[in-house]
Amino acid sequence: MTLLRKISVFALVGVLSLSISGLYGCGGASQTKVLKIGVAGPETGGSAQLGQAQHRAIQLACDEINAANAAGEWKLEPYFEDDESDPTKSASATNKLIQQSNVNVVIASINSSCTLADMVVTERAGIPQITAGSTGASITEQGDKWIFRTAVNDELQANALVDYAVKTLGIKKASTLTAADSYGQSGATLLKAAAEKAGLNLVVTATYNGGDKDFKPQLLSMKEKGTEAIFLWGIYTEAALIANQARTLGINGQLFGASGMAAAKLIELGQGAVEGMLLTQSFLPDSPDAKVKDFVVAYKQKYNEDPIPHAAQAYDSVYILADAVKRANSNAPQALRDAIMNTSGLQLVTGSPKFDEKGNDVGKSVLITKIEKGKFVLVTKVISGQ
Amino acid sequence: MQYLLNGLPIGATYALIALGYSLIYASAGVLNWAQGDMAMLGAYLAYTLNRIVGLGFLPSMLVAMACAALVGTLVERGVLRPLRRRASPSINLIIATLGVAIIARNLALIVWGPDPQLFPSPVGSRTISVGSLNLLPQDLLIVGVAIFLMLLLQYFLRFTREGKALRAVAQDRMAASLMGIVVERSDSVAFATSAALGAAAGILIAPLFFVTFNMGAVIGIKGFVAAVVGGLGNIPGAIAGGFVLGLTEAVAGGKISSGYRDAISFGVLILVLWLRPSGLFSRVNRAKV
Repeated sequence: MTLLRKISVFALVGVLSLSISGLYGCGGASQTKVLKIGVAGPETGGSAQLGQAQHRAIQLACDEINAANAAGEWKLEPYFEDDESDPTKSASATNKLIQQSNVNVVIASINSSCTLADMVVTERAGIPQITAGSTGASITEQGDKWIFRTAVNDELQANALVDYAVKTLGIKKASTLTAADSYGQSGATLLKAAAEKAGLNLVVTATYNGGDKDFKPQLLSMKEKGTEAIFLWGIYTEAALIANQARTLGINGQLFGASGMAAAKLIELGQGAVEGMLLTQSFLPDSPDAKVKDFVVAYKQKYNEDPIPHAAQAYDSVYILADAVKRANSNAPQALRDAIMNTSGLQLVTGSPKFDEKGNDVGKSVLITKIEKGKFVLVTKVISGQ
Repeated sequence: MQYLLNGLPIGATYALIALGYSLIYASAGVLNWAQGDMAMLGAYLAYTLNRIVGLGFLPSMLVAMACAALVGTLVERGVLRPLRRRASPSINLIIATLGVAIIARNLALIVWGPDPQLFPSPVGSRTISVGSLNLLPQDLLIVGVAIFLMLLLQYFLRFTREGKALRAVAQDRMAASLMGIVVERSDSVAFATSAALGAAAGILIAPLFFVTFNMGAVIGIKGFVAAVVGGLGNIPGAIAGGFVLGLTEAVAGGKISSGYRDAISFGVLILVLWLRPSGLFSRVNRAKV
């Protein structure tokens, strides 16, 4: 009995030590340094086009960086999860990336409400997070030192749109129609503040719920109050419906929108109704800038479509990470975070990134674009002040 | 006035969905949670036939409705009938239809993808203006076709063999089966008719609201509310309930608060259930169908 036991203990110890040395051997053999990047974004659901663009751009950037050894000895390895634009699913996707895939840094997410949910996870785990798509002001107001934003901050966009409406178009009475989620509500607050500053009278400030299809009640009350322009803050599906229904009701005022809805699908779904609509964006594919051109050519070659701003921002985010991991020469969370914070001197597709103490990229420029003949064209460029 | 005008087409689609709920409830005694997804399926089928195969709007709509009716029959035969034969409690049947709804939604996601699809209106998108009132030709089409379908349903129920059998089963399932009516066949007819009506609602609303894989969820719930407001199992009640809900939403959304629109329409539901538990339009001596 005891002999048998001894043998079995020996056997067990032997197996364990073998497996441990096996693991060690594995670790020793793959001495290439790997930065694991977790990506969460909506690949299905209402903002699927944005999430898919983010996925493609990140894959492209990782491939390019790995092929050119642009991150020194470091190789980038992306891991993708779908969050379906749902904050709960987004948080569990982020958790899965950190716990199961052991990622060193997270790029998440697109919808601001999802990003906020993800931040709880990354802050607890102490992992740096970049959002390449969320513009909601509250994201960088949480006092969370792990969050960075490479999307254009909403405040800049709201100010640029309202200033343009008042100073260039001479609009005096306007309305806002915003989604009743954290993205839309932060937009509503910023638009209100910008309107007060610029002396614009907001006659109706209405909201809608995600997935709503009928906006005529809100639009009618705007029409009754004589609105000259409508500022929309939400995503493209609802924006296209709103534009269609506004035109149906005979509202011919100027439509304004923020970058969250700037996608080709907006033009496809909105057709004639979105012609002349003005939107803020961080990126236009037909810009003459050499960096932009290279990116557009590479993206088109790989995916056979024009990149959208979310793609450009996600692409830049990977280059920021590559630069940071190269300088830090470590994938430890703290070192990586500090290196991202000290980013400077990079020339990327959407500007020259530089982070303020809240994690906002203040090196970005805001473009005001117009939909003309089914295409986004540049109207004017506003260089971000702060 | 414009608010009421906006509420009519929405109300008409709710009414079509509500009819489906009531028809199935009256005859088979179950709630079919896949009713809204029949609308989604119908809209996608018509979209595919119209935009990709290149059929006209009317043929696409008819074929899509027929396909949806077939799916409805399959759901009844493949899911409900086996459960019923095993004498499952009706809660199981209801949950089974919920399962059908989830499967349908995810299949649509796989087949047609996550992006909303544009389904142009067959009657154009030029706004018709009368005084200060504006409406789309599609709005008229929705209301017209919906009323036509409602009349057709009345004709079907009153003057055809299958329709009469359906009404008999609705009145008394046991007695009907004793009279030689095959009640299971009647259930199939109810499911097929309801699915076709749902599909029609989905197709009619698609040019206004696009086709999305999850459109069935909202439209299904609203249709259910309409059916309950009108008295579940009551056919004229379902129609009235649909219009009441559509108009309430339009007026409440515009005059009170757009953010609380859904809260208001569900508030109406609670109020109706509280004051008249069997629905607004139920008679004392309740005759189903």
